[in-house]
Amino acid sequence: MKQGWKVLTVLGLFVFSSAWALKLGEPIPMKETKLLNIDGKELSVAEVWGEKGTLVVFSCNHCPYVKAWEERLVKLTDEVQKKGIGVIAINANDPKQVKEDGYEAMKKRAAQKGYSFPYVVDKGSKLARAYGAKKTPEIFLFNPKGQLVYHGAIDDNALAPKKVEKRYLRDAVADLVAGKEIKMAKTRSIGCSIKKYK
Amino acid sequence: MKRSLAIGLRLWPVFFLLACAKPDLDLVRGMELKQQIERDRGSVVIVNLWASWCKPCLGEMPEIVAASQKYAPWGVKLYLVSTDIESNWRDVDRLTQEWGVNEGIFVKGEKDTPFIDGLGADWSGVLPTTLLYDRGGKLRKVFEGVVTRRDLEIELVRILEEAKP
Repeated sequence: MKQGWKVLTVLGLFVFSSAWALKLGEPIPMKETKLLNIDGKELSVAEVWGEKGTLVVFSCNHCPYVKAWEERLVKLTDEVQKKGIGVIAINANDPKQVKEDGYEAMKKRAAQKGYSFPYVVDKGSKLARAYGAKKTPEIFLFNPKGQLVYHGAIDDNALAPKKVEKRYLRDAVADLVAGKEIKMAKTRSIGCSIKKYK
Repeated sequence: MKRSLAIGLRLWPVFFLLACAKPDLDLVRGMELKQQIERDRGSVVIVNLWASWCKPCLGEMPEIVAASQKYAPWGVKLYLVSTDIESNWRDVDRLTQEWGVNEGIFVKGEKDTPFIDGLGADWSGVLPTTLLYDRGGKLRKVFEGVVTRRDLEIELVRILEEAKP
């Protein structure tokens, strides 16, 4: 009977594990893990660490939601970096599943869109799994101590920029830089599933 | 010939209006969808969240529709909830017709955060996602990403076997 409960518990954990993600206040995982950047060099999140915090964006090339938000994100990251926050974009998609998300395409995309931040390959989707990242784009903002202080969306309207009413990420960064508690620390958004390496 | 042309020219505003007409789709808030599922107690409900531009969504849909139709006599309902914006609604209408789905078609009618919170299904926002609710209205399974007909049917049979009506 006891054995039966153990099996049920394990099954329960398995069933609900899909909903798991890094929680607010939890420490950044795999900070020192080296990832291949689009400049051909290996880079870890620790190496882009900002004195005021760090912004980690799970992104990719093919997703229409990434494309819809891209211009706003690039503009925002320029401002964010000037405020002392490090920025890194991570592509955890398996290019065997989505050809558009291959390394060469990443280089082209970053050049075309004027990325001012590293865009790295998460081979094996190890960071995506460690963060519990499910989709692109998905935002994780950490304070200088490495604790998660914001998780979610860039703003409240991916597909209609003119109808944006709440600039979640911009507001979260402003609060973080000002040393205030982030008012809206967890937001929701729809995006493309991360096509993880199997 | 001339007469046909004359009639065509007179009627062009009608054709134009018909071409521009927006399909009559049901906008739904997350909370309303949750309430609808609660009203459906006694049925097993499949909720598929999709978008017309989402290739994996379109790829899996014929399998989801086929599975739901196979088990419809046992009280399985299918709700297709599109997250498309208004400019894509004609595609939503066309695609659902192609799949042979005539009812249970909704379009997300509010912004992401209130919709996801209102639905209350712990949905991460990934497209496609398929939610399975049992006859008691309880969320039993979340398929994030593409689901195969086989995996969906295994879960459907498991739920149907538990509590026959």
